[in-house]
Amino acid sequence: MKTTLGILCCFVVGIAVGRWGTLSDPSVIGHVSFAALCLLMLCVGVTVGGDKIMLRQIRTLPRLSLWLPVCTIVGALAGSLLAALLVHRVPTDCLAVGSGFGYYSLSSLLIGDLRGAELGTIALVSNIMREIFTLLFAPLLVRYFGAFAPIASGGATTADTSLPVIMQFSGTRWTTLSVFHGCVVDFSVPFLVTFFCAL
Amino acid sequence: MLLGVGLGYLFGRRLAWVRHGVLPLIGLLLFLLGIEVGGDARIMSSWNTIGMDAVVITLAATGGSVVAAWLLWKMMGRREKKGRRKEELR
Repeated sequence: MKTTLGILCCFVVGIAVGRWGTLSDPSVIGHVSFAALCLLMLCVGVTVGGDKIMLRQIRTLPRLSLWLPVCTIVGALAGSLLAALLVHRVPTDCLAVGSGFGYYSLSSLLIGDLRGAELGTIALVSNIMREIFTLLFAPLLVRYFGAFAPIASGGATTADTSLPVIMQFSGTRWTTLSVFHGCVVDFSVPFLVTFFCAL
Repeated sequence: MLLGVGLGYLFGRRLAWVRHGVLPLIGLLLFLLGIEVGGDARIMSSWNTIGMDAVVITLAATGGSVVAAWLLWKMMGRREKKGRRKEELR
């Protein structure tokens, strides 16, 4: 929660600087963000690849539960298509935002780069909401939709930020599943987002 | 990113410090995105629609995920019950 707030602060300060500050050359921002984005992707890859204990523990999980990341992704994409009917936006825009799965930093930056700052902002706000929704409503989700619901709702964040809440309410039995789910969904974000932005 | 996974798999421990680099990078990038948003008058004037769209997409996408996970959870329950019944019959 603290990190989310800190990150939100960076964004807000950026808005203030952009609104009231003066920039000599706006194109510099694009170059710097692209370089930083590449570096960020490299860091994310290193973190996922370095987690070997998790890779070993996956084998002990029930086979059927390993389909959970697929359910999360398919469900979110179906929901995003439905949202396209309500918000007067191109379906691919909604799909790109929806396939952020709560990974607001990466998805908003990719979308901002590929589709402009407006949709990037929507992606940022939407995916932060998804994370906060998971943190706040995990107990209710477990009660009405079963132990997998907060994991699905957490999307790409279930390996880190929402993991403590999931352990608490879904039960520690599903910790490995949650981490596995988070890594798989995490990994799908850059591919799905760029795919829908390119359509 | 694939290069990163390979590096992480090979030098996992030695590259553990990379984790600490992620957060400042995200902060910097969002700061830059913020500058772009703040400098764009069109976005600044349409905050309300942007917020509304974000809410609708979030609820729909998260709801879809939750419903799909709920179906899987029910399937798991049914299968576990079947397994237990088989064991009892034995």
